Amino acid sequence: MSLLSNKYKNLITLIFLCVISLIFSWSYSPKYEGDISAINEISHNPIKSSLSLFIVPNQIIEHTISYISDKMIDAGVFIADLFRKPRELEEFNALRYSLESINYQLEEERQKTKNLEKLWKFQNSLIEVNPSFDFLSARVIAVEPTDWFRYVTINKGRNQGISVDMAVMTQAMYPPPKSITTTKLMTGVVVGKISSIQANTATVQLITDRLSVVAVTIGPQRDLALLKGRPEKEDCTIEEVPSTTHDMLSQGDPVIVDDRSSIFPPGMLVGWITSIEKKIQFCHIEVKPAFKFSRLTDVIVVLNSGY
Amino acid sequence: MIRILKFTFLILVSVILQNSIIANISIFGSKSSLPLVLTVSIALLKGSFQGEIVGFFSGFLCDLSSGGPFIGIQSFSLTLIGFSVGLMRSRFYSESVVTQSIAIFSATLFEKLISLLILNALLTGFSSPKVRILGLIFTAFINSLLTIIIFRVLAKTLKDPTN
Repeated sequence: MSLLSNKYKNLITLIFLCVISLIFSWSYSPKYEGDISAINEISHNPIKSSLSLFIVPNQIIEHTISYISDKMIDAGVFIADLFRKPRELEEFNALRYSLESINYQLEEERQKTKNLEKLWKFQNSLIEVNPSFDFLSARVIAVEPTDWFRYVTINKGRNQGISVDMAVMTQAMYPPPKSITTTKLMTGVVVGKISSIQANTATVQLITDRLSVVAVTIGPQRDLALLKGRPEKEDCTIEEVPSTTHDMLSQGDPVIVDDRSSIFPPGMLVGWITSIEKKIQFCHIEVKPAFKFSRLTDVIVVLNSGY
Repeated sequence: MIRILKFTFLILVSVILQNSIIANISIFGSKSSLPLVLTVSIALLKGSFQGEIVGFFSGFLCDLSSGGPFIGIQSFSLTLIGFSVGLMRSRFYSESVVTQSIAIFSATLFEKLISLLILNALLTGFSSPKVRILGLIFTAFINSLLTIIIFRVLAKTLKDPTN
């Protein structure tokens, strides 16, 4: 009898939890029908946003990681204290350990300073060519846990002046396959846009995400095209480009943000064309982003973008 | 009460590690899933009920920490996996490495399949999600190794003092 009731309890719980999950899943279904003006609304799920107000895993992650790392360092010191050598060696070893520890800290600081210096130079070069924009540097603290989407979490949020739909950029990580005539805004490369914000963190939707759509221009005639993300291959694709444009395109051509983009500063570099496949009416283009996802540690948010 | 606290702690740790460390390691486009490994290990150790509860909450937290616009996909698949693997516990010897490996291997395939089906139904006008078979097999293999280790750690941590 007890076994039977246990079975029922399990089944009822299973049905209840599955129904809740399915209701949540089907509560929001993004639709894209080729309308550029509707692109910004695609990845905003109102139910998820309201739930995130109460449960904020990203902030828990940020605080917990710094707390755990501090505690681990404390634990390491405590364990080292427990296994201290006899008294005659103690002073010598203590001195050696403290010197080693200072050395590590210095090396760490040197690396951080080097990164910051690079970022600062990059930010200054951006300000020089784009005096109308304000920039804010941020660090990537978490990445998307699932295989299906491409998002990262940065350590700046609402309190630092970030809002939804601001453009996020970084330094180009690949040398251009072709020498290009540098235009005024080609200092940074597009990484993505802010998709949601919390008090001290923000989520960035990368251009390689499945739901990302960016208005770009390609070719010498600057034809408008829509760039879509392809997370499986960490790249992007452009479809429905008229075959007449095909002859004017070649591998290594840059892909640049279009003037009509409502989020990204026009003229910014997105990536390079890696392959062009001609079909009957249209051609299919593959684009390699100019940044590498696995090396994305520091980014710059364009504060007065997303207009 | 202590058991609930232990499960809450384990779920939080698994989601935090998944977001910060595990998700950075992608093999042929696939990532290992610590919440999945935790769900399978708990289901093998404690049975269907605990398995589905841990699966639901770890999946739900994972859904919330994901940048994608959806919620409920991970929680749905992990709840089903927790329940199904828990059923295996009464029929097979759960302490066996073979049982654990088969359970997590099939759970990894099942989780991807469910997510693919739901995402394909929900995404209209976007490219359909795809899975690279090689990446999937590697991920399932790494998940198996993780489960063998985590199962042993959990078996000691969640030991019932009355037994």
